[in-house]
Amino acid sequence: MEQAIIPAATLVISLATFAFTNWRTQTMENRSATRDTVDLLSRQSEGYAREIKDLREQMEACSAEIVDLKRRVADCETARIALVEKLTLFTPPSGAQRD
Amino acid sequence: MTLLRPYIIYWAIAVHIAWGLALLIDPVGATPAVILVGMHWIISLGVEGPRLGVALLFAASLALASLIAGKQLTNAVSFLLLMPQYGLLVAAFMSDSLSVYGGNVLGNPVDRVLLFTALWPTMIAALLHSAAIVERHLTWNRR
Repeated sequence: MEQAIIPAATLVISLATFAFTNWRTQTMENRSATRDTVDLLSRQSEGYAREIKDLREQMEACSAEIVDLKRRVADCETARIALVEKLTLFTPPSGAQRD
Repeated sequence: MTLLRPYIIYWAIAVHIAWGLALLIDPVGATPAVILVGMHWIISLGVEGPRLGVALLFAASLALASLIAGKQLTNAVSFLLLMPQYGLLVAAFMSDSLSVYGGNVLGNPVDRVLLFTALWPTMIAALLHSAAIVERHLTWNRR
């Protein structure tokens, strides 16, 4: 009787070992894949953060340049107004005879 | 983690080949001693002599094929090739345990301590073989 139980018990244990090992391998592979994905996303995130920092620095540089250009435009405008005033002084009144 | 060759599986293959050949060459002489490799349970089911020898050689050949082919096989196929031998060792472990616990072999009373000391090496080997198979296939992708 005891000897007859052995084949059945062996079959159950063998199948259980096979199933457990397959399940565990699958779980470990999934965990490894998840870890790889997290690492990839983390690296991408760091890359994007660096890019954002660079763009911010470029934006600040551009802002400073815009301020400078505005100041130059204002200076040019002032110079233009002064020039127009000078030209007005030297322009003969309308209807005056040239010598 | 250092992964070594599964020497205990090679040990089982060598033992089963030796016993398989012995049972084919001299079934009358070898059969009474099969308890030493925990095969007395299979005799009680009527499988003995050359048939048992062929079964042992078949299981050992499949296991050897699995080890030789290595990663050319998939994890599952490689594991399945080891299963017949694994089953023989699991059965041997259970059969040996029952014999030691009951103090008899095929209905004949035998001293428990004598049985235990004679069978314990095979029982340890069966446990190590199980651990080696599980470890081999859990670490399949890291080798």
